[in-house]
Amino acid sequence: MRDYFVADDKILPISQVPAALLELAKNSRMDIDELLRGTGIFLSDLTRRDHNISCAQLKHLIGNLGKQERQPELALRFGRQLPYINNSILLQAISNAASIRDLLEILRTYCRLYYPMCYLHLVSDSKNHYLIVNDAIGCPQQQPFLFQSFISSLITLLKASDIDSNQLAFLLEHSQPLDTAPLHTYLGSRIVYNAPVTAVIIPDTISQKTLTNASEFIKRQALTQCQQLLRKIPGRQGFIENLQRLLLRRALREDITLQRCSDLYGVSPATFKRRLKAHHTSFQQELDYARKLLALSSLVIWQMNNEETAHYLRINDSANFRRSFKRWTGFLPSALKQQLLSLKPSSPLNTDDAITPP
Amino acid sequence: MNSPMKNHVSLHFSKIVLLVGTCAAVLAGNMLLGEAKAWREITWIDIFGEGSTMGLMLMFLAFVLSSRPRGRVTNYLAFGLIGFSAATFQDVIDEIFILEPGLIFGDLVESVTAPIAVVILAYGLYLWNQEQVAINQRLQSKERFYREHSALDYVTDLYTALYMQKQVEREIVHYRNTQQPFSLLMLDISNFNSFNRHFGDQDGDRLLTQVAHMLTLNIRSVDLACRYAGDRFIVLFPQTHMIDARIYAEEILNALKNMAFKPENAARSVFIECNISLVDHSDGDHAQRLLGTLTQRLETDKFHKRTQATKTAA
Repeated sequence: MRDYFVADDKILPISQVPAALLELAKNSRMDIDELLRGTGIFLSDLTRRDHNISCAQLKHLIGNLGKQERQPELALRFGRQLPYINNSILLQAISNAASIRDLLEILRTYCRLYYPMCYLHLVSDSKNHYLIVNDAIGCPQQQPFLFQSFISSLITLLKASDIDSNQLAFLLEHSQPLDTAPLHTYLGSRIVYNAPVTAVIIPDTISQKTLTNASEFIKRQALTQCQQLLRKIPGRQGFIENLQRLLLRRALREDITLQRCSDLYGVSPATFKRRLKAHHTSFQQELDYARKLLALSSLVIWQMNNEETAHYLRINDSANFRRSFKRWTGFLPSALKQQLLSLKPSSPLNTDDAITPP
Repeated sequence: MNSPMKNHVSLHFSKIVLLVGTCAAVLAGNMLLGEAKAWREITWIDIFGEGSTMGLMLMFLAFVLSSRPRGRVTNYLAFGLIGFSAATFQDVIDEIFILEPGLIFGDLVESVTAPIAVVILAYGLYLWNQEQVAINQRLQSKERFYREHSALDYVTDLYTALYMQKQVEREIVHYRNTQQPFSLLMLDISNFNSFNRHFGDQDGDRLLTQVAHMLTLNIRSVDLACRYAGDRFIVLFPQTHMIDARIYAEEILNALKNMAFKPENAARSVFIECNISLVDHSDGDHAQRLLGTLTQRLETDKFHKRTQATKTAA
């Protein structure tokens, strides 16, 4: 049995994310019939016990929400509810995290139970922790909604632990929207648009903060139950997440090709290509994304220079690497380093610290 | 969930019956008193041309009925349009039926009804104008010079940040030309997140609506209040120096402090506290920068308050 789920697998309990999303849309005076059109979800499904829908259906629903354009801050509002609509055992573990670093680690490990459409990477250097938000199932159109709602949910969790979101910085892949008010209100002013990845930057000073009223015992009990739950549910990772993890493991050791990858999945290259297409991506796009993450971590976290990074990524010379990096991120390595250096986390007292988009 | 449009149509069932009845009577009159033309004698181009006019009238009628509640203005508009539709319908079917010579039925329906209908419609439009003037007065403090329904916030019925941004740009140009000062106020509700967690999002939305009402009640008719996003509001004070804006801000804060909000499922009223920040024309030369400074000052104010609270607690 495969340990990942594809877009058409019915793995999302309708009573969680979809129901909460529809409830919010209803309260926002949206036309529910219009929202459900073409999704294969019926209003009567909402009252059925143990009814699941697929990620493709949820994607369609989010797409319909985008068409209504009634509410630019809907994703951010939804994110505020997200921690409380999912698995209650996981919320118990999160509420009993010993520190913010611990909380982030729990989210990273159990993101499948928290928000199955996303998966997280957590990397750290001496000053900051970088929580990178990724698409687990391949939905480029719906990514801004998914990522913004996830980030808003993280802020809600951090605010509950008395952390001010103005001490964090945010990298968003999309360009600056016409109306920046919702993002600035929910996320604060430290936002970089057109960034190479979607990430939350948490300064080390915050992440070490010990959380009050946390019980290690309750957390461990809750995490054991979460582990048992993860073993029971079908598909522990989204297909794109699974592929990315494989590419990240292999890309540094071998020149991985579509043929090799399809062999590893035990399907023909044509079937593999079809499956990627069904997830709105291609092998080259996924390989580029994995190499972009590796390049970013080597440049930003390990402070390698261009030659070292090129060698690390098995690229012939630094000129080739610079070209590839520009293609992946839209920036030259030096420009990106410069941009990230400007993100010195600080208190909101420094008024000249607003980040201008590149 | 029914959309408001469907609800409005259902309010006007009798008018739809009147329209169908009138058209049926015109058709029956022509069938009884006249004779159908031979297929070849029908001028299709005339039917198409006159039919389009009727189609357009029906479309106007549909817009009126689907968007307006019952009332005197709606009645005049609807009766005018129904009369005109009946006249154009007669115009269409006299291309199909030939009435016996000497009968005035056709002329009566076409040439007498049409001018009467236009007079009724014109009076309806005059009343509509009066009504709009009355509504504009009620929209004072929520709208300035420009109407754009797509920029309305669905929770508070105030305009959104984008609308305010345009108004601030306009005010900056005005300041450059006439040196008329202006100030901006940003306001947010303290601990709105925990309020939402405690009482739910629906009560959160009701609270925002009440704050919006209080804001519009406590500003001058020349001022403009908009919802920024989340729990943040923004007020534009035209022709106002910072020193006066500060006094207005204090008055707004006082009013909000005394507002007793009654959540659905709580026995006691809830009182809120707000944070504010102010900027004036001297703080930036474009709207984005002014709004950025305003947000930054609000964050700073909140940061100070939090630090103060922590120190007091310690």
